[in-house]
Amino acid sequence: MDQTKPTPTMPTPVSPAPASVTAQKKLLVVEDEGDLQGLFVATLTGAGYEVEAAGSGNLAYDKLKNGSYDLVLLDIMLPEMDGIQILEKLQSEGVNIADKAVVLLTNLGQDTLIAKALSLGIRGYLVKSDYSPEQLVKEIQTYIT
Amino acid sequence: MITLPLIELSIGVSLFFILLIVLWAQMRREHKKNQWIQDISFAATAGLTVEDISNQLFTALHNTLGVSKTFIGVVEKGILTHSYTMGMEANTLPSDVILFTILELLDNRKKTVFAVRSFHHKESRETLLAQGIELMIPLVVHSELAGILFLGKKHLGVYNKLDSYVLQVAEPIITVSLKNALEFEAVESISKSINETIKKSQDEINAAKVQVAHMETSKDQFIDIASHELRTPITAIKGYLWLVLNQKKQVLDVEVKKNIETCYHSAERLLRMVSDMLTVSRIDEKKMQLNIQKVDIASLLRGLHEEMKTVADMREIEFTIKLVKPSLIIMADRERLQELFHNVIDNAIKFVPHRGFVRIDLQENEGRDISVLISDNGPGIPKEERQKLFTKFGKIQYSYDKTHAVEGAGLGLYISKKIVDLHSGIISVESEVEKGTTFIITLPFQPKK
Repeated sequence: MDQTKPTPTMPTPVSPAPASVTAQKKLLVVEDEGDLQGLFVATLTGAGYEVEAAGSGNLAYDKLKNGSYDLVLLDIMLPEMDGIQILEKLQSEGVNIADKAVVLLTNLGQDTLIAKALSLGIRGYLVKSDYSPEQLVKEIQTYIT
Repeated sequence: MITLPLIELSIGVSLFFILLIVLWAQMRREHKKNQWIQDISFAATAGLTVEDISNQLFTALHNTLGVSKTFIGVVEKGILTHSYTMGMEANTLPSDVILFTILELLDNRKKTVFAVRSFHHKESRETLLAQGIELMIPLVVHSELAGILFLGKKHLGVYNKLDSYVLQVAEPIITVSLKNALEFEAVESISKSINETIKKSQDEINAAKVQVAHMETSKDQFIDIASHELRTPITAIKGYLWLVLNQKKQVLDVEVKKNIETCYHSAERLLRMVSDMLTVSRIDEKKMQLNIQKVDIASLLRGLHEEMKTVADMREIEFTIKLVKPSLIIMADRERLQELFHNVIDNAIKFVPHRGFVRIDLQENEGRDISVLISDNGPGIPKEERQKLFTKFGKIQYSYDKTHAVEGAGLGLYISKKIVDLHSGIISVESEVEKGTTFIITLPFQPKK
């Protein structure tokens, strides 16, 4: 093996936040891509959160409208109703989006949609493929604490 | 009783008057003849095209000689190409008959006006007479037959010497007019054909432009879709590999762990390449927008230094950072800057030899702008390779040979340059072979809009 080749660092395991802090923290993951949804749920559950998931626009809308979450990860491209449409519908029904603690899950190159969602009152956004599970958990923590 | 002298006088006077009358008649005849020639010549020269000439000439011949019908045939190289008829239906003269007639005429061009009834060729003669054609006038230019004029019978009487004379005199004028008209039509046709060719070429160029634009769009859309579709499964692969590596239920066999780590890094590499391709396609489509906000460039560089130090340490590279101020705010797109400096620093760490150095140096230039210098004591970049640095797929050969096969598609510095451009900044490189390289990135406090 080539000795000069740089060895990339391996991510270090994330220690779950102390149980006392995360016991009540409840997250909603809205992602229609099954594998990714499974990954997010596994990662966040592993980090000690209580996680609910939705894979369609209608289900996500129901959960967002009626449920209460500490943070909602919302995908843009969804069947039935997309992420932006969900936010717009909630807003038109008098829901304050800022209260819903929504972080948009995006792909690269969705600048226009991100700008639109930010104007609707989401907390922030993260580019799905940019984060390893470890980084995802770190990022989530910045929104919750 | 009439005396002789009186009779003589009477006869003389009578003769005188007769002479006067004859002279007057002669003058009138002469005047009429000239008037006819003038009318016919004028008609022949009044038209621009053969069709014009045919119309005008028929009217003039009708009004002067009382001609009932005309047929003008245009001849090229002994072949009748087209014809114009007046007072008779078009195409009533079979072309083979006319061809025989023309051949006969070609042998006997000295005469100007031919009587149809004197034709040798029986079939031609009978066909023409049956159509009411009585005279034929070959139109000859420079001893070449350019056309043929047939005249139908007169409304009153038969063709006489005066008619024949008038036609003989008018023939050269009619011929020259016909020739001019033919030349005019040829020029017109060339000009029309040139215009049509130009128009056609223009249409083809426009169609090609549309096609190229369409292909460009298709290509960009393809890259866009392909990148998105590829990123989702790669992200999943990478994530699950991470979960396997970090699960706590059982201790992984060392070899298995190593293999999974390799998978993880390959997935990471693949993801980076796909992302780079998508970024490039967005840059090329001019779709990339900056999210300008306050960025503490000192803190951003410190973070990157911390993040990348692990790799540098592993290779025993002296990786240092020098900041002019602990905090320095500029207006920029944080994520793009992160990507930009990551690319440049990552390259330096990759290329620098074992136990070499990589230095980050943040400077402030008299409140005008800021500069970040990233220098190393790597292999350096030869002058001729430097211009390729910031081009698409511009991976430089030199670095490979000296160090190792470098991962990536050669898009990193191209993207970096575009990010700097979008921030109205400048990226430049100073390098000396075997000594090292310094990338200098200068950014304004506020990008120009």
